[in-house]
Amino acid sequence: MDETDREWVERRAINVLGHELRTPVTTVRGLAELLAAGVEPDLQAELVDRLLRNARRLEGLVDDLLAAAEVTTALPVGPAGPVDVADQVRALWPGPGLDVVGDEVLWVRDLSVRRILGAAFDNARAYGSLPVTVTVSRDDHQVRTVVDSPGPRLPPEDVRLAVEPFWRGERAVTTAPGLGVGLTVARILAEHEGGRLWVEERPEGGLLTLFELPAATAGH
Amino acid sequence: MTGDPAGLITVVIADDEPDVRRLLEVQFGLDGRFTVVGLAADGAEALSLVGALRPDAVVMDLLMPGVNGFSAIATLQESFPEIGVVAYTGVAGDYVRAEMAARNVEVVLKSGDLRPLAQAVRRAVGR
Repeated sequence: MDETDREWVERRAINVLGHELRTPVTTVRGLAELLAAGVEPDLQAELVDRLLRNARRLEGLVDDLLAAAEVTTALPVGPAGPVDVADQVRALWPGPGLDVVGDEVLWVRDLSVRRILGAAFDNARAYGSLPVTVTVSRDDHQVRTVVDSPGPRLPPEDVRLAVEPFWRGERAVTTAPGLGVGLTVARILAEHEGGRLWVEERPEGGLLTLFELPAATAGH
Repeated sequence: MTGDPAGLITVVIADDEPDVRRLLEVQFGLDGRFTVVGLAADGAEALSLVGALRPDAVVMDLLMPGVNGFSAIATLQESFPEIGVVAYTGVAGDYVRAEMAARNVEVVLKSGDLRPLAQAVRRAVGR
Protein backbone atom coordinates (compact mmCIF):
# COMPACT_ATOMS: atom_id res chain seq x y z
CA MET A 1 0.00 0.00 0.00
CA ASP A 2 1.59 3.30 -1.03
CA GLU A 3 1.12 6.68 0.63
CA THR A 4 -1.79 7.75 -1.58
CA ASP A 5 -3.58 4.49 -0.85
CA ARG A 6 -2.93 4.95 2.85
CA GLU A 7 -4.39 8.45 2.87
CA TRP A 8 -7.40 7.23 0.94
CA VAL A 9 -7.93 4.30 3.30
CA GLU A 10 -7.61 6.53 6.35
CA ARG A 11 -10.15 8.99 4.98
CA ARG A 12 -12.38 6.10 4.03
CA ALA A 13 -12.02 4.61 7.50
CA ILE A 14 -13.65 7.63 9.09
CA ASN A 15 -16.64 7.39 6.77
CA VAL A 16 -16.99 3.64 7.11
CA LEU A 17 -16.62 3.72 10.87
CA GLY A 18 -19.07 6.57 11.17
CA HIS A 19 -21.65 4.84 9.04
CA GLU A 20 -21.33 1.31 10.40
CA LEU A 21 -21.08 2.28 14.05
CA ARG A 22 -23.68 5.00 14.02
CA THR A 23 -26.49 2.76 12.87
CA PRO A 24 -26.37 0.28 15.79
CA VAL A 25 -25.54 3.05 18.27
CA THR A 26 -28.53 5.06 17.06
CA THR A 27 -30.76 2.03 17.30
CA VAL A 28 -29.56 0.94 20.73
CA ARG A 29 -30.05 4.39 22.23
CA GLY A 30 -33.42 4.97 20.58
CA LEU A 31 -34.79 1.57 21.55
CA ALA A 32 -33.46 1.81 25.11
CA GLU A 33 -35.17 5.19 25.55
CA LEU A 34 -38.46 3.84 24.22
CA LEU A 35 -38.25 0.87 26.59
CA ALA A 36 -37.34 3.10 29.52
CA ALA A 37 -40.37 5.29 28.80
CA GLY A 38 -42.59 2.19 28.77
CA VAL A 39 -44.42 0.57 25.86
CA GLU A 40 -47.09 -2.07 25.36
CA PRO A 41 -45.93 -5.62 26.26
CA ASP A 42 -46.05 -6.91 22.65
CA LEU A 43 -44.03 -3.98 21.39
CA GLN A 44 -41.66 -4.34 24.33
CA ALA A 45 -40.72 -7.90 23.34
CA GLU A 46 -40.06 -6.82 19.76
CA LEU A 47 -37.98 -3.81 20.77
CA VAL A 48 -35.90 -5.83 23.25
CA ASP A 49 -35.16 -8.31 20.47
CA ARG A 50 -34.02 -5.52 18.15
CA LEU A 51 -32.01 -3.89 20.94
CA LEU A 52 -30.12 -7.12 21.65
CA ARG A 53 -29.43 -7.71 17.96
CA ASN A 54 -27.89 -4.26 17.62
CA ALA A 55 -25.90 -4.64 20.85
CA ARG A 56 -24.46 -7.89 19.44
CA ARG A 57 -23.69 -6.14 16.17
CA LEU A 58 -21.74 -3.48 18.08
CA GLU A 59 -19.87 -6.20 19.91
CA GLY A 60 -18.91 -7.80 16.58
CA LEU A 61 -17.72 -4.46 15.22
CA VAL A 62 -15.52 -3.91 18.26
CA ASP A 63 -14.06 -7.41 17.87
CA ASP A 64 -13.31 -6.71 14.21
CA LEU A 65 -11.73 -3.36 14.98
CA LEU A 66 -9.53 -4.73 17.74
CA ALA A 67 -8.42 -7.67 15.66
CA ALA A 68 -7.79 -5.39 12.67
CA ALA A 69 -5.65 -3.16 14.85
CA GLU A 70 -3.65 -6.26 15.71
CA VAL A 71 -4.55 -5.90 19.36
CA THR A 72 -3.33 -9.23 20.59
CA THR A 73 -5.87 -9.44 23.40
CA ALA A 74 -8.62 -9.81 20.80
CA LEU A 75 -6.92 -12.72 19.06
CA PRO A 76 -7.90 -16.28 19.97
CA VAL A 77 -5.85 -17.75 22.79
CA GLY A 78 -5.43 -21.27 24.09
CA PRO A 79 -3.78 -24.31 22.63
CA ALA A 80 -4.00 -25.34 18.99
CA GLY A 81 -5.67 -28.63 18.15
CA PRO A 82 -6.91 -30.70 15.22
CA VAL A 83 -9.45 -28.90 13.04
CA ASP A 84 -11.07 -30.55 10.03
CA VAL A 85 -11.38 -27.93 7.29
CA ALA A 86 -14.32 -29.48 5.43
CA ASP A 87 -16.30 -29.88 8.67
CA GLN A 88 -15.80 -26.19 9.46
CA VAL A 89 -16.81 -25.18 5.94
CA ARG A 90 -20.02 -27.22 6.09
CA ALA A 91 -20.87 -25.87 9.55
CA LEU A 92 -20.48 -22.28 8.36
CA TRP A 93 -22.26 -22.76 5.02
CA PRO A 94 -24.75 -25.60 5.58
CA GLY A 95 -27.06 -24.91 2.63
CA PRO A 96 -26.62 -25.26 -1.13
CA GLY A 97 -24.37 -22.97 -3.16
CA LEU A 98 -21.03 -24.27 -1.93
CA ASP A 99 -18.87 -27.22 -3.00
CA VAL A 100 -15.96 -28.60 -0.99
CA VAL A 101 -13.17 -30.43 -2.80
CA GLY A 102 -10.63 -32.32 -0.69
CA ASP A 103 -10.23 -32.40 3.07
CA GLU A 104 -7.34 -32.04 5.49
CA VAL A 105 -6.84 -31.63 9.20
CA LEU A 106 -5.17 -28.47 10.51
CA TRP A 107 -3.36 -27.94 13.79
CA VAL A 108 -4.67 -24.52 14.84
CA ARG A 109 -7.21 -22.83 17.11
CA ASP A 110 -10.66 -23.63 15.68
CA LEU A 111 -11.98 -20.10 16.34
CA SER A 112 -9.33 -18.68 14.01
CA VAL A 113 -10.37 -20.99 11.18
CA ARG A 114 -14.05 -20.17 11.65
CA ARG A 115 -13.33 -16.45 11.50
CA ILE A 116 -11.07 -16.78 8.46
CA LEU A 117 -13.64 -18.84 6.57
CA GLY A 118 -16.43 -16.54 7.80
CA ALA A 119 -14.65 -13.50 6.36
CA ALA A 120 -14.04 -15.23 3.03
CA PHE A 121 -17.70 -16.32 2.85
CA ASP A 122 -18.99 -12.85 3.82
CA ASN A 123 -16.89 -11.47 1.01
CA ALA A 124 -18.18 -14.06 -1.42
CA ARG A 125 -21.76 -13.14 -0.50
CA ALA A 126 -21.09 -9.40 -0.81
CA TYR A 127 -19.30 -9.56 -4.15
CA GLY A 128 -20.03 -12.82 -5.81
CA SER A 129 -22.42 -15.33 -7.21
CA LEU A 130 -22.89 -19.02 -6.51
CA PRO A 131 -21.61 -21.65 -6.31
CA VAL A 132 -18.58 -20.97 -4.17
CA THR A 133 -15.96 -23.72 -4.35
CA VAL A 134 -13.59 -24.47 -1.47
CA THR A 135 -10.56 -26.56 -2.44
CA VAL A 136 -8.35 -28.02 0.29
CA SER A 137 -4.94 -29.51 -0.46
CA ARG A 138 -1.83 -30.38 1.51
CA ASP A 139 1.76 -29.59 0.73
CA ASP A 140 4.11 -31.07 3.31
CA HIS A 141 3.44 -29.25 6.61
CA GLN A 142 0.98 -26.70 5.24
CA VAL A 143 -2.63 -27.02 4.16
CA ARG A 144 -3.74 -24.66 1.43
CA THR A 145 -7.41 -23.68 1.28
CA VAL A 146 -8.73 -21.78 -1.73
CA VAL A 147 -12.16 -20.11 -1.58
CA ASP A 148 -13.17 -19.63 -5.20
CA SER A 149 -15.92 -17.04 -5.48
CA PRO A 150 -17.18 -16.28 -9.00
CA GLY A 151 -18.46 -12.80 -9.68
CA PRO A 152 -17.95 -9.70 -11.73
CA ARG A 153 -14.45 -8.68 -12.76
CA LEU A 154 -13.04 -6.54 -9.96
CA PRO A 155 -11.11 -3.30 -10.31
CA PRO A 156 -7.39 -3.99 -9.71
CA GLU A 157 -7.39 -1.84 -6.55
CA ASP A 158 -10.18 -3.95 -5.03
CA VAL A 159 -7.93 -7.00 -5.38
CA ARG A 160 -4.74 -5.20 -4.36
CA LEU A 161 -6.22 -3.61 -1.23
CA ALA A 162 -8.73 -6.29 -0.23
CA VAL A 163 -6.74 -7.38 2.82
CA GLU A 164 -6.02 -3.82 3.97
CA PRO A 165 -8.18 -2.39 6.76
CA PHE A 166 -11.26 -0.36 5.86
CA TRP A 167 -11.05 -1.17 2.19
CA ARG A 168 -14.53 -1.79 0.86
CA GLY A 169 -15.05 -2.80 -2.73
CA GLU A 170 -17.37 -0.60 -4.75
CA ARG A 171 -20.14 -3.20 -4.68
CA ALA A 172 -19.79 -3.93 -0.97
CA VAL A 173 -20.15 -0.27 0.00
CA THR A 174 -23.80 -0.22 -0.94
CA THR A 175 -24.79 -3.88 -0.74
CA ALA A 176 -23.36 -5.25 2.49
CA PRO A 177 -22.88 -3.92 6.00
CA GLY A 178 -19.42 -4.09 7.53
CA LEU A 179 -16.30 -2.15 8.33
CA GLY A 180 -14.23 -3.47 5.47
CA VAL A 181 -11.88 -5.24 7.86
CA GLY A 182 -13.04 -8.85 7.41
CA LEU A 183 -10.16 -9.98 5.21
CA THR A 184 -7.72 -7.89 7.22
CA VAL A 185 -8.80 -9.76 10.33
CA ALA A 186 -8.55 -13.03 8.42
CA ARG A 187 -5.00 -12.21 7.32
CA ILE A 188 -3.97 -11.34 10.88
CA LEU A 189 -5.56 -14.55 12.20
CA ALA A 190 -3.80 -16.64 9.56
CA GLU A 191 -0.48 -15.09 10.57
CA HIS A 192 -1.38 -15.58 14.26
CA GLU A 193 -1.75 -19.30 13.52
CA GLY A 194 1.60 -19.48 11.76
CA GLY A 195 0.24 -19.24 8.24
CA ARG A 196 -0.63 -16.61 5.66
CA LEU A 197 -3.61 -15.32 3.65
CA TRP A 198 -3.85 -13.41 0.42
CA VAL A 199 -6.29 -12.79 -2.41
CA GLU A 200 -5.96 -13.11 -6.17
CA GLU A 201 -8.11 -12.03 -9.07
CA ARG A 202 -10.17 -14.91 -10.39
CA PRO A 203 -9.37 -15.14 -14.13
CA GLU A 204 -13.03 -15.57 -15.12
CA GLY A 205 -14.21 -12.78 -12.78
CA GLY A 206 -14.59 -12.80 -9.01
CA LEU A 207 -12.11 -13.37 -6.23
CA LEU A 208 -9.88 -16.16 -4.95
CA THR A 209 -9.14 -16.06 -1.23
CA LEU A 210 -6.21 -18.32 -0.38
CA PHE A 211 -4.78 -19.27 2.99
CA GLU A 212 -2.15 -21.68 4.21
CA LEU A 213 -2.19 -22.99 7.76
CA PRO A 214 -0.16 -25.61 9.63
CA ALA A 215 -1.25 -29.19 9.01
CA ALA A 216 -1.82 -31.69 11.80
CA THR A 217 1.08 -34.13 11.68
CA ALA A 218 1.73 -37.54 13.17
CA GLY A 219 3.79 -35.84 15.88
CA HIS A 220 0.80 -33.90 17.28
CA MET B 1 -51.09 15.61 -0.96
CA THR B 2 -54.14 14.02 0.54
CA GLY B 3 -53.33 15.10 4.09
CA ASP B 4 -53.99 13.24 7.30
CA PRO B 5 -57.55 13.57 8.66
CA ALA B 6 -56.23 14.14 12.17
CA GLY B 7 -53.86 16.84 10.96
CA LEU B 8 -50.77 14.75 11.59
CA ILE B 9 -47.69 15.19 9.40
CA THR B 10 -47.51 12.18 7.10
CA VAL B 11 -44.04 10.76 6.65
CA VAL B 12 -42.36 8.17 4.42
CA ILE B 13 -39.11 6.76 5.80
CA ALA B 14 -36.41 5.40 3.48
CA ASP B 15 -33.51 3.57 5.08
CA ASP B 16 -31.85 0.27 4.15
CA GLU B 17 -31.53 -0.71 7.82
CA PRO B 18 -34.76 -2.42 8.98
CA ASP B 19 -34.12 -1.61 12.65
CA VAL B 20 -33.69 2.09 11.88
CA ARG B 21 -36.94 2.11 9.88
CA ARG B 22 -38.80 0.42 12.70
CA LEU B 23 -37.27 2.66 15.38
CA LEU B 24 -38.31 5.80 13.50
CA GLU B 25 -41.77 4.39 12.84
CA VAL B 26 -42.33 3.77 16.56
CA GLN B 27 -40.71 7.06 17.65
CA PHE B 28 -42.70 9.18 15.18
CA GLY B 29 -45.87 7.31 16.11
CA LEU B 30 -45.42 7.92 19.83
CA ASP B 31 -44.51 11.57 19.30
CA GLY B 32 -48.13 12.38 18.48
CA ARG B 33 -47.55 14.94 15.72
CA PHE B 34 -46.60 12.54 12.92
CA THR B 35 -47.88 9.42 11.27
CA VAL B 36 -45.56 7.16 9.28
CA VAL B 37 -47.45 6.10 6.16
CA GLY B 38 -44.72 4.18 4.36
CA LEU B 39 -41.37 2.46 4.86
CA ALA B 40 -38.87 1.98 2.03
CA ALA B 41 -35.60 0.03 1.93
CA ASP B 42 -34.04 2.00 -0.93
CA GLY B 43 -34.49 5.05 -3.10
CA ALA B 44 -36.53 3.32 -5.80
CA GLU B 45 -39.02 1.99 -3.27
CA ALA B 46 -39.21 5.42 -1.65
CA LEU B 47 -40.08 7.09 -4.97
CA SER B 48 -42.73 4.50 -5.67
CA LEU B 49 -44.29 4.94 -2.21
CA VAL B 50 -44.19 8.72 -2.48
CA GLY B 51 -45.97 8.57 -5.84
CA ALA B 52 -48.71 6.40 -4.36
CA LEU B 53 -49.07 7.97 -0.90
CA ARG B 54 -48.12 11.64 -1.45
CA PRO B 55 -46.84 12.18 2.12
CA ASP B 56 -46.05 15.58 3.59
CA ALA B 57 -42.41 14.62 4.12
CA VAL B 58 -39.75 12.03 3.31
CA VAL B 59 -36.92 11.10 5.64
CA MET B 60 -34.20 9.81 3.33
CA ASP B 61 -31.08 7.86 4.20
CA LEU B 62 -28.30 8.66 1.73
CA LEU B 63 -26.22 5.48 1.46
CA MET B 64 -28.60 2.81 0.21
CA PRO B 65 -28.23 0.03 -2.35
CA GLY B 66 -29.63 0.48 -5.84
CA VAL B 67 -31.08 3.97 -6.14
CA ASN B 68 -29.29 5.82 -3.33
CA GLY B 69 -30.58 8.81 -1.40
CA PHE B 70 -28.76 11.37 -3.54
CA SER B 71 -30.47 10.20 -6.74
CA ALA B 72 -33.82 9.70 -5.03
CA ILE B 73 -33.80 13.22 -3.58
CA ALA B 74 -33.01 14.70 -7.00
CA THR B 75 -35.93 12.82 -8.57
CA LEU B 76 -38.20 13.63 -5.66
CA GLN B 77 -37.56 17.36 -5.90
CA GLU B 78 -38.17 17.30 -9.63
CA SER B 79 -41.35 15.23 -9.56
CA PHE B 80 -42.83 16.23 -6.18
CA PRO B 81 -41.48 19.69 -5.29
CA GLU B 82 -44.25 20.19 -2.73
CA ILE B 83 -43.02 17.32 -0.53
CA GLY B 84 -40.56 18.15 2.26
CA VAL B 85 -37.31 16.17 2.34
CA VAL B 86 -34.83 15.61 5.15
CA ALA B 87 -31.54 13.76 4.59
CA TYR B 88 -30.90 11.36 7.49
CA THR B 89 -27.39 9.97 7.47
CA GLY B 90 -24.74 8.29 9.59
CA VAL B 91 -21.94 10.51 8.35
CA ALA B 92 -22.01 13.88 6.63
CA GLY B 93 -18.71 14.98 5.15
CA ASP B 94 -18.11 18.05 3.03
CA TYR B 95 -19.53 16.42 -0.08
CA VAL B 96 -22.81 15.49 1.59
CA ARG B 97 -23.22 18.89 3.22
CA ALA B 98 -22.46 20.81 0.01
CA GLU B 99 -24.68 18.57 -2.09
CA MET B 100 -27.64 18.87 0.28
CA ALA B 101 -27.15 22.61 0.83
CA ALA B 102 -27.28 23.09 -2.95
CA ARG B 103 -30.61 21.27 -2.92
CA ASN B 104 -31.86 23.16 0.13
CA VAL B 105 -32.25 19.88 2.01
CA GLU B 106 -31.52 19.79 5.72
CA VAL B 107 -29.09 17.10 6.88
CA VAL B 108 -29.70 15.37 10.22
CA LEU B 109 -27.14 12.96 11.65
CA LYS B 110 -28.57 9.66 12.84
CA SER B 111 -29.18 9.61 16.57
CA GLY B 112 -31.37 7.74 19.02
CA ASP B 113 -32.93 11.11 19.89
CA LEU B 114 -35.89 11.84 17.59
CA ARG B 115 -36.08 15.55 18.41
CA PRO B 116 -33.55 16.95 15.88
CA LEU B 117 -35.15 14.88 13.12
CA ALA B 118 -38.70 15.80 14.17
CA GLN B 119 -37.78 19.49 14.16
CA ALA B 120 -36.17 19.19 10.73
CA VAL B 121 -39.24 17.42 9.32
CA ARG B 122 -41.49 20.17 10.68
CA ARG B 123 -39.28 22.83 9.13
CA ALA B 124 -39.27 20.95 5.82
CA VAL B 125 -43.08 20.97 5.69
CA GLY B 126 -43.45 24.45 7.21
CA ARG B 127 -45.42 23.25 10.25
